[in-house]
Amino acid sequence: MEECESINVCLREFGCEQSLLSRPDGSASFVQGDTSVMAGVYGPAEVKVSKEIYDRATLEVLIQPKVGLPGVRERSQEQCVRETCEASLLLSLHPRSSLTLVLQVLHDDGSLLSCLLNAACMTLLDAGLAMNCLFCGVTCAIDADGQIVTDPTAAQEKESRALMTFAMDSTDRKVLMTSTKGSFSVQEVCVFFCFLLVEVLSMCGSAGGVGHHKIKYFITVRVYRLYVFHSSTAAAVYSSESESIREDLPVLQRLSETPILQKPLTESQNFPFFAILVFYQIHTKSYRL
Amino acid sequence: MALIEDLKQRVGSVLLPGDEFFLPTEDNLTLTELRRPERLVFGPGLRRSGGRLTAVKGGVLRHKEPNVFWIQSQQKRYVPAKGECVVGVVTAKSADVFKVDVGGSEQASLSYLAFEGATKRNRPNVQVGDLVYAQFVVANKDMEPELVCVDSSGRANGMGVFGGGGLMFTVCLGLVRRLLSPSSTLRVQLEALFPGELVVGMNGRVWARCADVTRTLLLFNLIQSCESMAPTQRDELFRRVQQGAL
Repeated sequence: MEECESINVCLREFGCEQSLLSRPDGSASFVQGDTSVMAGVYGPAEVKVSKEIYDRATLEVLIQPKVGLPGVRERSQEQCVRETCEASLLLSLHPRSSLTLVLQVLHDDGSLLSCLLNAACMTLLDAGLAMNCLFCGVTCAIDADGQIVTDPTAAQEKESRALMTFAMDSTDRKVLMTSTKGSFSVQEVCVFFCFLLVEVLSMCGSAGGVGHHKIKYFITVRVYRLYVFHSSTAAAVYSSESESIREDLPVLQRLSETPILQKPLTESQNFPFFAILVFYQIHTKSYRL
Repeated sequence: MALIEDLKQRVGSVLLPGDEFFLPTEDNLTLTELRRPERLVFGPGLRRSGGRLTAVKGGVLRHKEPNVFWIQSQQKRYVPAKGECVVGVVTAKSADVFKVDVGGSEQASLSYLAFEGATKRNRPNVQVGDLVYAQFVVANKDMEPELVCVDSSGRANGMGVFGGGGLMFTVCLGLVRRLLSPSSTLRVQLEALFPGELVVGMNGRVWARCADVTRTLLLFNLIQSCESMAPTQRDELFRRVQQGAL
């Protein structure tokens, strides 16, 4: 338990925009701090005979690095993302067709795999593909002193002893995928995992305490700031969601009245309503214990 | 029934993949009372498996009396459904069928006998590259989709090969449904502008023809820009067009 208390609970600022590309059937960009990924999905489309599967759709994931050609590292990330997507998509609804998910890394500043996973989820949601559940990815690092850092930057990743990425689904809060690197003990994994469930996920839930409420508030405001739109709509969204959020409303409304935030609703922002709810659910509501 | 009440409460709100509702389990059957179970219909985006109902798409829950529920979502890719009318492009001709691209995952087949007045001797005049407006008679995930250009009584009923001129373009599926909806203000606004022909396929393809090319292009631009506009912005745009600003 001592280790649990020394954990630094902090996620970097994150954001997402959906439907920003015109050619793919679904697209999204996801930003976590300085890490940024753009994704697009095509399908269900015609499939090559050699890749055809008779009872489900073929999912292909392509990861393009920022510079150069995809190598072994990208291949392993592709596999992680593909297996996670296959677990959440209802591929049997589109037999003998293909889904192609292309993820372009725009900048890597740590926690790349979790950012790729989050971008993939947002893209699949935007394409309107049938899914069992949503999923999200979290990366954590254990540094030399044994402390756990969530959502590490590239510098923190370099100093760390071990690095783990988990993908979790939104309905049962079960682990869909794990990826680990470095050396760690079994206990550390357990602590780590308990920590993830208890801290990262419930901190946002309405069951959380005062400290947790603060983090939830930050996430809400951040999401809100990303998708600025009329405060009345926001009020409606928040009030319909839960009682606990209502406390934040005055602050949110004040935020929307500040000149920086009062941008006009442009065409690219036609998905704000959705995104807020999506984020709200992923990072707050769904992960109550 | 608890489920219906549950669903009705959520009508108009956003559901996300993984949101669940539970169907009540019938503990005891009544033998004496003649009771008809209420019929529930779940449309796109909702999936029923055993005792649970799961949302599989992100979108707004909609309801139609008596007990029809579905999720209205934004989508670009078309998935064929039986009975829907689509605009397709003929891509190949073989002995007795045409292959038609409708934007789905597979090309649909269109028999040359499925046109009004077509017989074995009297083949319809369809060339590769032609546009057709047709209806799905077979569309399921396991079989090749099949189109026809006649209704059940053998009449064309508006379907068939398109004439010359006009412009085909692709819009998202949500806009197509808005254009076809009987209570659509968008269509009323378009009708008020100038006369023209508009063929709207459920697969997101729209064909337009007006008196001259300029107007056809104007119509095309108007519809495309409506895709991402709020009603107030749209009203403003149409007002400006009507005043001759564009």
